Amino acid sequence: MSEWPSDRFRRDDDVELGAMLVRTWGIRPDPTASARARTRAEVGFAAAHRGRAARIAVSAGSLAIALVLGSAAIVGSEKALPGEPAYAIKVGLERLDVAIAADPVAETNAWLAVAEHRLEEAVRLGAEVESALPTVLTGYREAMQAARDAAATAPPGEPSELVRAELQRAESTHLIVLTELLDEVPPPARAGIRRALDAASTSPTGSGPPTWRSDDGPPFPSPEGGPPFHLPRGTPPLPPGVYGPTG
Amino acid sequence: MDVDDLDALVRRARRGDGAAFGCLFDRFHAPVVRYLFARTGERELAEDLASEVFAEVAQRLPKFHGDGGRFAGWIFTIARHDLSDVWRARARRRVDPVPDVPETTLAPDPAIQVEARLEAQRLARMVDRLTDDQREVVLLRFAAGLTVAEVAATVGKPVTAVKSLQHRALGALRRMLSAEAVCVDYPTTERQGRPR
Repeated sequence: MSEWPSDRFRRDDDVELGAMLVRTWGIRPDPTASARARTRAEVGFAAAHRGRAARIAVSAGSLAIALVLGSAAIVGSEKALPGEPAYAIKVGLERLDVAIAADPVAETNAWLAVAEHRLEEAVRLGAEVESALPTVLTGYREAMQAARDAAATAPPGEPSELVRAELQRAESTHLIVLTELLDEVPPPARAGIRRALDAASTSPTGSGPPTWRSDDGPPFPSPEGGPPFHLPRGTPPLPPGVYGPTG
Repeated sequence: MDVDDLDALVRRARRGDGAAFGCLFDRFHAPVVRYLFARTGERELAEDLASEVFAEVAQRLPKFHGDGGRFAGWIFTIARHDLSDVWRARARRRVDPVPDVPETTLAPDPAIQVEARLEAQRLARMVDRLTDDQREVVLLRFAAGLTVAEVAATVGKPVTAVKSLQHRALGALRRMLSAEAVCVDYPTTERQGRPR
C-alpha cells in the first residue's frame, strides 16, 4: 500500500478532485478509541496464537497416541484369532503384503506367510470344539493354492528356484503339523484337516503326481535330519520299530 | 511501507509475532476507520466497527494465506462484511442512520473549518449519487487510501475494471461539481429539480 496520491492521474483536475475527496473523509481516529481497539486486537491476537499452539500440541499428541496405539494394535494383531477385534488388522496387513508384492516370487512368499499364519491359528484353535477351525483351514488351502499359482508364474531363474524350494520345504513342514493336528482335533474337524493335508501336498513345482495323500498315513522323519518323507504308494508297511512315522 | 515490508510483517504476524501485528494495526487502523466513516457518516460507529474488524483480523490471521498485497484487500473485505451486518441489523430494527457531518482535519480559522465542512458535506452527497460500484471504488481509493490493485482485490474485480470505474466516477463527480457551480451562479428554478 502507498499513500495517496501515489498513482498517477491522467488529468490535473483529477488530482485536485482526489485531494478534495481525501479531505472529505480525512478524519483522525480518536486516540482513546484507537488505543482501546488496539488493546482488544492484541489480546485477541495473543489468544488466537495461544489457541493455535494448543491445537498444534493436541494434534501432535493425538498423532503420537494414534501411532502408539496403531503400532500396539499391529503387534497385538500378530497373535489374533478369528473372532477377535485385532484379527481384521492381521488379515488386512496380510492382504497388504500380497498386494504390494512386486513380482511372483515376492507374491509366493507373501502367500506362504499367509498359509503359515492360518496353520498356526489352526494349531491354536485345534482343541476347541466350537472353533473357527474350518474357516482357518479354508484360508490355509486358499493361501497355499495362491502361493503355488504365483510360483508357477515366476520366470525361470535363481529366485524362482529358491522360492519353489521354499514352497516344498513349507509343504513338508505343514504336512507334519497337520498330521499332528489330525489326532488332536475332535472328529468333526478331521475332514477339514484332511483337505488341508491334501492341499499341502499337491505342489505343482515337483514333477509327477502328488506324492502323498491324507489317507497314506503320516510322513516319516528323514534319517539324515532332512525334511520328512513318505514312502512311495504301494510300499509294504515297514516292520515295527525299524522306522516310525512322525508323531 | 513497500510491498516487501508488508509481506514480511504479514508473515511474522501470522507466525504469532505481536510486534508485527502491532505494526499492521498502526498501518491499517486509520484507513479502515476513514473508510467506515465514509460509508456510515458516523464517526463513533466507524471506530466501533473498526475495533470489531481488527478483533476479527487478529483472530483469523493464523488462517490467512496471502501476501502483503492481499492483506489490505482482506481487511477491507472483513470491514465491508461487518458493515453489511450493521445495515441488516438496522433494517430489522427499522432505525435509520443519523447522517453525520464529516469532520475534516482541524484548521485554525473557524471560517475555514466551516467552509471545509460544507465542502466535505457537498462532496459526500455527490459521492452518494454515484453507482454502487463507483462509490465503493472512490471510498476505497480516497477515504481508505488503497492502491488500485488493493481495491481490485477488495471488490473482486480486475485492475482494469477498477481503473475504469474510478475514471467514470471522477468524471461524474466533475460534472456534478460543474453543474452545482452553474446553479450557484444562477440560482434559478433549475436547481429545485436537482436530486439530492
